[in-house]
Amino acid sequence: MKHKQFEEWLRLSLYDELNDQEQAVLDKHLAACERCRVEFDELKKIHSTLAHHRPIAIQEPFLQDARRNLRLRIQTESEHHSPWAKVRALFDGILAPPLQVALGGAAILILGILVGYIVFKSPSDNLLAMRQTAFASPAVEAGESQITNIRFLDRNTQNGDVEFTFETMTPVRIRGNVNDENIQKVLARALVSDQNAGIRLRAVNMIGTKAEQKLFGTPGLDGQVKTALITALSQDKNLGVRKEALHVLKNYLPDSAIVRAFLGVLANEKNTGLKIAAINSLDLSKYENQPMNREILDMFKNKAQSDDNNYIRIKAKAALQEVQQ
Amino acid sequence: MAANDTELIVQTQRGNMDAFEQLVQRYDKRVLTIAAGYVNCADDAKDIYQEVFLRVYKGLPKFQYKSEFSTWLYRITTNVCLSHRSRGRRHSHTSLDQNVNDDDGQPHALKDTLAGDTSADQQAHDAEISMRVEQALKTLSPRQRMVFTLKHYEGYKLREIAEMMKCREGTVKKYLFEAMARLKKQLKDFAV
Repeated sequence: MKHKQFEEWLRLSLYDELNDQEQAVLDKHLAACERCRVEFDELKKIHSTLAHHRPIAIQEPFLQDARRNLRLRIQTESEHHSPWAKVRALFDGILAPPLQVALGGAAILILGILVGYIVFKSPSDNLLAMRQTAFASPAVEAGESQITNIRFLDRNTQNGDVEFTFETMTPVRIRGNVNDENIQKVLARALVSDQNAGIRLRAVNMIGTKAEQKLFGTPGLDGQVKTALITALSQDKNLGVRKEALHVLKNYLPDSAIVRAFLGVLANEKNTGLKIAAINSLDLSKYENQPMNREILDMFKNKAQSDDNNYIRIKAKAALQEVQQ
Repeated sequence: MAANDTELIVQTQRGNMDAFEQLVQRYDKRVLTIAAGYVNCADDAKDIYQEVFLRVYKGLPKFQYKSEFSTWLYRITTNVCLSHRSRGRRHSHTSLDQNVNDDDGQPHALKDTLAGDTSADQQAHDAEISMRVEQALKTLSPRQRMVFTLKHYEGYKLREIAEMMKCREGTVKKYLFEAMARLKKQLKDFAV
């Protein structure tokens, strides 16, 4: 047997990867080979050094924290699941693969016919259709739309006919009550999609107006609006937006999704002020008989032991002592 | 009697979230340990944990039992680890070696909070060795480090690692030997 094979076996032996027969052959070789013995001793030293570095024994609060974050993330993902995806999943479940292929082929055929019709139909019809589309909008005629992406396709210098395409963006003006479900949804959409932090802040402020009115007996929070607020609280890059979202959401406690979002803030938020606002909003005594109780208690225990902020540790300890009495 | 993996998968595929949670809790400590061993950063380990189980959650409806659930799960884990970009590259992160203050204002490493108590001298000694080992581990390629973590810290057999990483046993052996050679070189002066 070649010497190189023994060098390989030395390493495998340390990891208990040799069978009894191979180990016996190696032991016999080691007894006779000084070079391999030295190498083996060096390897054992390295193993001994590495044994001092046991990266992490995961403790329960750390694991619980990870589980809580996972629940929150899955919940957020589920709420963002589009209706189209659900329909597609339904069809995936119902249709057998050969039928899916057949339907896919049929769809491509229909698409081809449609494209052929649009491309080869008479140009005058095409122009007319475009005119109707473009100038049917009063906003375009009144000059209120922003016109972008103009592409000139054709120009006849003799009769003056021109052909071009463009896109219009028309501002929409809505006047209504902040309690109106549609207005709330538009604001919620702006809260999660607008690039401008100032606009997101104004959107959450306006949603908050409803929260203040809720204290006087108006109905609860729409599901989409709640999701938008929770998303803003957990993911918005702007601290002001996150703070305002928390301020609005605390009015709807003890909703379980909102409680989880607040626990998420306690677990992940870097800003101490926001964490303090979150822990101050969670009154432990209110959750004693609720299913969320275990998660909240675990988080408070975790915070009491390991939060890097004194106030949060003291607050968590005090709250735990209060409920234990 | 506790349900087996297959029963829990079937129930999860029918939309039973409790079953999914049971399935997660059966394996998640291992996943978190592998992730933490690989990245040595609490924030990054949690990110990996979350990404792994989110992929499992999304993938379970189409799970076809071509392999054991655990094999599939650990394969996802190794893939997520290998493709993970540390939070440290995006913004500051909490290292498990970073000092935090305890109730009395005394600094100690975060990983000690996670791992439990040992004597102060032992902690200091281990911390120094850990730091040197961690520096040495950082010089490994992602695959070398993954194989080393799974073999050295988690004790998996080479063939199991090959199955997890969807490669040949010989390839795993090659990564392990390369990792060992590099660590040996880096830690030569520090070996005890």
